[in-house]
Amino acid sequence: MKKAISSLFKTKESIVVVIIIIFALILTFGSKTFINKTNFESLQTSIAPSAIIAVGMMILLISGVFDLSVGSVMGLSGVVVSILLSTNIPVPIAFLGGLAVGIAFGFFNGLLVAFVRVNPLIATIGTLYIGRGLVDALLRGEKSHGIQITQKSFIIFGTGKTLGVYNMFWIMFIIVIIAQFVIMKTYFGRQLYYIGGNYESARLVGIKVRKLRLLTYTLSGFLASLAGLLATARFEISSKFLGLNLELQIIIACLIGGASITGGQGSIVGALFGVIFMSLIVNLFNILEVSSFWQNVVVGCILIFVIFLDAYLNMRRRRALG
Amino acid sequence: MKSETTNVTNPGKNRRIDLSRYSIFIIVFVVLLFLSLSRLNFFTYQNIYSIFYGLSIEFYAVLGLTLLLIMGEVDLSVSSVFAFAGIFTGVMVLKAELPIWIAIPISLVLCGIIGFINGFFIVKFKINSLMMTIGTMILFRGIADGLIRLLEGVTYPSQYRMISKIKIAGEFNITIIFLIAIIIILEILLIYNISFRKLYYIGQNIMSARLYGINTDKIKIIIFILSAIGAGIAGILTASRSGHSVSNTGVGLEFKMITAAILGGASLYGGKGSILRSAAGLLFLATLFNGFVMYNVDPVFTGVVTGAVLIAVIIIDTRISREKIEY
Amino acid sequence: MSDNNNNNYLLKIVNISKSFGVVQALKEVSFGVGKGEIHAILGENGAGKSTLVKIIKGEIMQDSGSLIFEDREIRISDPLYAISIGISMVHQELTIFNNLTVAENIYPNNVFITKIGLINKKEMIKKAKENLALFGLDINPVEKVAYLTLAEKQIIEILRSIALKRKLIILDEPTSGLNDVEVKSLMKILKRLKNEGITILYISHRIPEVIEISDRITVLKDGRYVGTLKNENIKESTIINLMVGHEMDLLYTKKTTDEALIKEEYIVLKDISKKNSIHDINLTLHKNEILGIFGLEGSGTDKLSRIMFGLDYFDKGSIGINKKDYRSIYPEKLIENKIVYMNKNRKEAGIFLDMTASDNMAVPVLRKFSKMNFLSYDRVQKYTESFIKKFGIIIPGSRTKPRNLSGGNQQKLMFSICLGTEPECVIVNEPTRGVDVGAKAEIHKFILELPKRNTSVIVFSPEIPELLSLCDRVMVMKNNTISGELKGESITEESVMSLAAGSQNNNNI
Repeated sequence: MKKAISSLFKTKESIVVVIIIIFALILTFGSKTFINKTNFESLQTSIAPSAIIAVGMMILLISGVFDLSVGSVMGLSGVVVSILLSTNIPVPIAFLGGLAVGIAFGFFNGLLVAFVRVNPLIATIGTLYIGRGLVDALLRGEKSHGIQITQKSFIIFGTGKTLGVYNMFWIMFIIVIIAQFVIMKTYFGRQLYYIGGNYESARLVGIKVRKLRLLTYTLSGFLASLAGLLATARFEISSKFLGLNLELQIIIACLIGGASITGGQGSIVGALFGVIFMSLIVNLFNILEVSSFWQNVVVGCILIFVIFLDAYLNMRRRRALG
Repeated sequence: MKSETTNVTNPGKNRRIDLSRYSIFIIVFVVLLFLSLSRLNFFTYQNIYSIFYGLSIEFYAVLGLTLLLIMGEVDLSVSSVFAFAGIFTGVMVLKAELPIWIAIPISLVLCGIIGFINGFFIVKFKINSLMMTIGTMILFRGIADGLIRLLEGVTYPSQYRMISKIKIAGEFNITIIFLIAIIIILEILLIYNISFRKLYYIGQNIMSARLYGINTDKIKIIIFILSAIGAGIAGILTASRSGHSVSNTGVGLEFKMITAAILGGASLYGGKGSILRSAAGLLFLATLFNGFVMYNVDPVFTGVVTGAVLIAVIIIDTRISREKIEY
Repeated sequence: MSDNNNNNYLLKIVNISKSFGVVQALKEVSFGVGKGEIHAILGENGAGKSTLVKIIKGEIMQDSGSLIFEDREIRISDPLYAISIGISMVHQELTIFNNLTVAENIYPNNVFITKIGLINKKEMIKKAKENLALFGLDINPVEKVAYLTLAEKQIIEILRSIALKRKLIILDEPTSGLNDVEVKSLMKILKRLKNEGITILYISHRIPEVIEISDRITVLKDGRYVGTLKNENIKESTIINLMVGHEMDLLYTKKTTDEALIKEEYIVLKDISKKNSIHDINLTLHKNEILGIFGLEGSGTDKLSRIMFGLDYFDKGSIGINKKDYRSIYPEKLIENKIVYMNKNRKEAGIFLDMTASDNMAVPVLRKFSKMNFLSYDRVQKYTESFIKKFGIIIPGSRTKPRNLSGGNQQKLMFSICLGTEPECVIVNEPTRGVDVGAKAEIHKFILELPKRNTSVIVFSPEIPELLSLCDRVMVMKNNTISGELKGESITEESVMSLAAGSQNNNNI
């Protein structure tokens, strides 16, 4: 029992939790604006969509690949749903329409990476670009400040609360729990670790690697669009800037939460902690009124640091194995 | 004198070698022809001139990138360096009140340093160039965004603005002369100069290149520096031309450049590429977008189209050059 | 020719032939592997063992002949198919999942599923523990595999094959990289496997081990089946005699060393070692000497050749060149010292398959053919053509790309690239790999000429007759270190093979 607890402490995830707790404590005592209802609410609505996307990203990272198009899928889904709603289509159909965007993009990414065998970074950067371009195209001219949404039954997704906590936060919670359960306890989920650990060997033990790739990319797209719909519902308006540059923050969050660029590692819970960590940092910046200039610099530096650390650890691992 | 001994095109699998080498020129010609015939105001001196003028300012960003692609590397930070250089030069001229001929070299030196950082980490720590340059891309995009606040939207002074507009005989922009000259010089260098030939060897088979004594590390770092400086020059000229900078200047530039280079025969997997053909690729894109204007297509669609062309071109590149690796 | 005992075969190999271009790797090989036996396959490098294994594994297809598995003819076109019918392989590059635990590596399939489809982790760990105990292993099933030793990882792979109910397990050089204790425990495990009724195909060079563990031993030579022996009171020398002795011998004349030609010490390797790789390598090359290095697969010769040329680093020791010692070297430095390297695997390094022959020739001598850094294609072309003529390379022209050439001509081209630099030393790894007889003789002639031009040579070769005809001295490697040195008259096929595969060493270096 003691051994189990001590090995638990050695995990990357627990280190992050500790840092988060320290952070939260600093924020609580250092600033009056942290422990404050509005702040908590805005934290919920910034964490929930990102965490939902991070679930999809973490699943991909575990299996050894990436998806850089999530941010633009998020934005595009919001735009599409707002356009659909503006034509007075029933809300459920519009909702499905928005989700369809993510599913389509995800499926396309999956095809490119798994079947055409394009490098995942390049493939998803390409779709990122197409997505952004579509957003710009759809929101041009007079629509460039976004399309207002009036249907209450849609807005409730973003603004509704249960037991004082935002519904989207509950949704995120449920998704995280289900996903964590699946990757820990089901064969379907464990297969991802095999694929990420050694793609060819996984193939040779009979794992359907290509199909799983396609499925996980589609899932990533789906989750990205879900997040986009929730965020758009919250603000009651679609925006050109939704999800802009979000993909990298999410990858950093996942890397902090235990994933490795080379694959085979990570957990959903870790992704959640990573997102919380990144959100707290941004929250801190906002409270301290740090300019977005510095915010970007810090994010960029964290990314470089995390990539560098990952590469360095990999190099050490490879050397040790001869 | 582009004989078979020069730039390598396709692996033995594809027997229709010669055609694909010149295909970009054929494509450009076809687009030019189509537009000239279908739109009256396309084939006018002014319109064609403006296409080439735009090309002569942008193409610096594709120079270094092409060289990197030949070696099998990539640099996604060009868009950020592009933005950074233009804005930083503006800041130095406006806020530090330095004369333009001092501000520009300082900016370019900084760009060189960024390139060095990229190259150093990629080469010495064996970090994937895609990842590393994404990191620097974000970092310097953020810095550029921050710097732009110092400018407060002010227009650049004339000494900055005139850099891109210097004309010979009052008529012809000097940048176009440079365009032609640089393309010719670099093509010649790529064919004949030993140091440039090494790039192909590195891209074709880096292990063999090392085996025969080519200092692959040093060369890669130098080209990363050149790529950043090229992006910087393009950024400064663009800022000079438009007279001010906006916060998302240059966003998506890296894709445009990569698309142009691959259209011009370069491959993400290395070993192929030519400056002339990359420039032709850029010309194709520029003509395409000019065609959009002619057909009154909203310029907002350029993003989607570039993305689509990029994906199409990558799929083709992957099918041709890729050995049997799976993800 | 076939072996006796026609019934009860798990796998029958019937008249399998395979060629790679001009080289015939396997010619009408037929024999049977009995159910539940440990069957060893022995042979020199190039005897055809690895080709045969690749065919059974499903990586390549035979040209003719058939495989009969459990009395059914099978065509294995993909490793996945071989695995699905029950054939599994434990290679040196393991198919281990380093990021997962021992238990997860042993059971990568969904065998422990509860009624609702969840993984029964407790059951999996329990079964893993049982299996590990059954084989007397003290490994914790929940430990991450990355921390295990190579030996332990191999065992995990074997356990996986059992867990996945494989019928035939092929082990390729399983003991290279293992120490004595680990080898012993592997032998114990194999014996236990046999008790479980699993058939084992054991491919190895280590005659003592083969004698200890196998029921029957098949020997291959030059792609042909030589015979199958029952492992009863068998002598090492009997096996060795079956392995060596080639028709090709007629073409090879033993070299007589010209002592006067050989001068002082030139390159000295002192105590070279690398973690998890070769160790304690001491070796000296004299000026104008041709030194051979021989070792069977897994003995460390490849690793040594890479370290020698700076393509890999070493942890301990030093390399001395012309009396100057280096703690680390890299290719550029060696080329500066006029030492060139001809790599074994042309495709990986050594030749640019998709650049013209001229471009290839030019690479190490770019400066020589340029004025003010501008290359003169004409001079390069003439230079290339002179070598094409000199080595008789069959090539349409200097603008042809090597991808379209035969193996022999690619090899000659690689030779030309290196020799054109007029080096002081050439390190050659398998000079006649994939080369036909005629070209072989020519290449040998050129190598023998080199010392007369003040060029020293180190030759790595898997063919003993080749070394006999080229070398003044031969170092033999076994188990990632030097097992002995032979000089002049004492270099014979038997003496070399003894040092390489047998149980003795002669470390009188």
